[in-house]
Amino acid sequence: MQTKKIEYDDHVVRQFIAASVIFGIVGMLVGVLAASQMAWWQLNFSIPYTTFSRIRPLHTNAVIFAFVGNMMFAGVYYSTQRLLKARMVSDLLSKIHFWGWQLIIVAAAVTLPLGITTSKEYAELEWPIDVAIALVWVVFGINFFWTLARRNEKHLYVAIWFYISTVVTIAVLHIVNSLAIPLSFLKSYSIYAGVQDALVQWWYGHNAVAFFLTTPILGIMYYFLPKAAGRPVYSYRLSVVHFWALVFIYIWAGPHHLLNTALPDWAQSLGMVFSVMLWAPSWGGMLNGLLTLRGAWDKVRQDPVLKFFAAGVTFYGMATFEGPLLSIKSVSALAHYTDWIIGHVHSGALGWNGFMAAGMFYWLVPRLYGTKLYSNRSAEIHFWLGTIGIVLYVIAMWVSAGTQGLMWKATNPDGTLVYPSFVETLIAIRPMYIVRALGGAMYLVGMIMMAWNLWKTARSGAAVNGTTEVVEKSPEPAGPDESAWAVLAGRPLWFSLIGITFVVLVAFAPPMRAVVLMGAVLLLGEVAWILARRDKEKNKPSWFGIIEKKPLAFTMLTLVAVLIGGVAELLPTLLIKESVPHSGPAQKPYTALELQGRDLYLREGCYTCHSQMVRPFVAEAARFGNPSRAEEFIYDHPFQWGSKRTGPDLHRLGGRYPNLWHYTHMMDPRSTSQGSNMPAYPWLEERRIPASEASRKLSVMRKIGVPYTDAQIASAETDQRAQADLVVKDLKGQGVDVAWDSEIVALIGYLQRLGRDVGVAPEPEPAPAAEPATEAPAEPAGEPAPAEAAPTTEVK
Amino acid sequence: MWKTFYQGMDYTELPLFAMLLFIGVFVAVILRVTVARRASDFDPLAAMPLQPDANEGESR
Repeated sequence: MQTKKIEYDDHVVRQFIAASVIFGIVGMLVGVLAASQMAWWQLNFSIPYTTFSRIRPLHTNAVIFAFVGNMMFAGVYYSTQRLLKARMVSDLLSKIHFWGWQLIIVAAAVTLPLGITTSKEYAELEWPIDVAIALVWVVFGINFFWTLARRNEKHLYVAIWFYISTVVTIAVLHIVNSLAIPLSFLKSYSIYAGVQDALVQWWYGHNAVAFFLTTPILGIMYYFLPKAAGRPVYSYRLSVVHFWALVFIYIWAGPHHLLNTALPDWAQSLGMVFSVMLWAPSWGGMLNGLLTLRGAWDKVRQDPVLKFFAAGVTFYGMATFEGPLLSIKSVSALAHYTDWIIGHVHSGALGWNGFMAAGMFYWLVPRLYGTKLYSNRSAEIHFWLGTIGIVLYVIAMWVSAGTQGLMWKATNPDGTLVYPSFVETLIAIRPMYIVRALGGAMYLVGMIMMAWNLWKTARSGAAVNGTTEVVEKSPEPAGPDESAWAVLAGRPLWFSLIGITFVVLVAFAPPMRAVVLMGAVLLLGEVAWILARRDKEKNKPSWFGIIEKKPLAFTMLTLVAVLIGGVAELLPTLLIKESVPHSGPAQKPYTALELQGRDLYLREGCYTCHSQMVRPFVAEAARFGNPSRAEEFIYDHPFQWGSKRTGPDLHRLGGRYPNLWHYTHMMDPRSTSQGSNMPAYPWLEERRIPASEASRKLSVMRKIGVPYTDAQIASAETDQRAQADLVVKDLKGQGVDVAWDSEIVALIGYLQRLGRDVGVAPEPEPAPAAEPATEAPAEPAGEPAPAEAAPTTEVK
Repeated sequence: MWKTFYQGMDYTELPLFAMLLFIGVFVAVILRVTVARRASDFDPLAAMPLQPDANEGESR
């Protein structure tokens, strides 16, 4: 038997590590700036490109896609080659993947501060960059699967499964959520609107966390943790259960981001139930990781690599306990829109992703350069700085969330709000924002120390590529038991499908029948177990043993497991008209000027601090006005419900204040709302809207279902001028002189329209579609009176 | 069909049944993984990451 020597492509691994460390520091530096802006608004510098609402997406994109993305690719390329005993099949594809990904990151770093954004959270990049992401991902996929096909190792280790689920699921999520119709080279509108857009977006957003920030890192955990501890994973059997349960359940949980909103109840309930169920596989994986260290805890005390891994896995456990907790409707009622969510994602991102990255880098870099780590002491200090930083950050956010959430909800015996001024609740949590910035800064210092340590390590050695020797064999034909048919005919597959069908039928059934069906599911499991035992006694090859060697079949089964949840949740909302009620012609699309203003609202990233979703709670109705309804958003491409309230909800803002208030507020927020931390937007007065694009904007909107007439499209430019002139005249009468086509006028037009769509209650006579909304009546026209509790509110 | 499906999904019943089923499966898996005799079938798979590169020592 001949052997051949294989040299792994570790050059690309070194490149991805370097990119991850550099972009990680940049992304976290931007994060510390953004955190500081929350405490000290002056740090916005009144410059568009450094304003919180524009750099917050830059921070999230940099940390998720640049820091964790590059780290993930480094781990995948390193471990895949070794687990498959094969060099990546194409160095060219690896190079295209690396440089393509970095170009995408640079494009994001340029476009986001410029305000070029779709405004969909964690998917803010505009369509040309989205296309580039899809292409680079396909290159990665081809390189990965082609290497799988050329492997010199029969078995697929569990880490490879997690990588497979990442490659296929991210492709599906990215493509579905990014579907948009371009207006120009750098501007597009989501093809989905309102409720549908919200559901698709958070199906994507949640599962980006699942399949970009979790599954690949779990694969990395299953490879690098045993490697660093020098012992096999605690339970390989548990890792099998962990994988299938996680990929099947995760995809259903997206709607937990939309609890108590206008999303249909059935979708909210599904999201909540599956989120709670998700706790089990998540903790299964966490315990499997920690128990791998059994008998090696003495090493953890001395080895910074194992310290980072052990703490990272522990943070994963904490975050995946907190996630299901936050997904319970009653908990979400308090926590949603508060800093609890920010604390939760940072315990995951800094604790799980950041620490797993640090552990992997400290383990890998010495080996990639044939040397030892330059300073263990520096790595130890990094660990403690990072840990204390995370603890400060998370506790500050918990305290902030509890304080603000309870202040929002506090009502007097007569039903009025105890804290009617929103800004009062913001001032109360300012100390927590300072602590948060301090915690983030400590973590950043640790990252910089790591960069220095890794740099010195690399300089003290020389780049070396790993090698291995494999036996050259002629390909063996698949035996009768290992054909594709054996995969399809496998009993576990059919038992699983029948079991899932029974569970679905429970939804149709009254209680007694449901109990019988559940009994049938348990019986099915028992029969499956007995048959599996019998096969084992006869030494028949197991179904698992067949599929774990067949990447194509494995990938298809993974895709099916993932798609079941996505299809069940998305299709009914997208295909059934009744899923979002339409009240008919009284629902009016935005006027040309309002649409221009809305585009500015998106550009400036107002959604990063303001929601447009009044939840059906007494305190919210008292503070903001009538609860929002699904039918009010049917022309919102994209939706703007937001996920955080640093400022108040804006859905019922229209007509609440005069135009002058809005002008003054945008120029100097503290002149109308003392104590606010909102940045000023003085450039809105200087800049001009693209007036000539009005007709095209309406025309593009019509292509995605907004019912503009030919006449409205033809007269869009003159209509927007007429509506703007009313605002200009009103402001001029109060001593403010602005150009009709200045951005501030369009934005005021949009803000005055918010929540005033009378379409939710049919009118006797439909109003003209392009009715200007420049007046400032005491109550929104055509709306029922606000909820029982009188609006004592000032929206500041 | 979809309409019927979601109409039949009672707000309080489904989560309850799902939760019971989930707990049943969860307990079964826990028992299977922790109580059942550890099969040696998976040992070679579990050891896969521990195979070193030809030129890989511990960090030198």
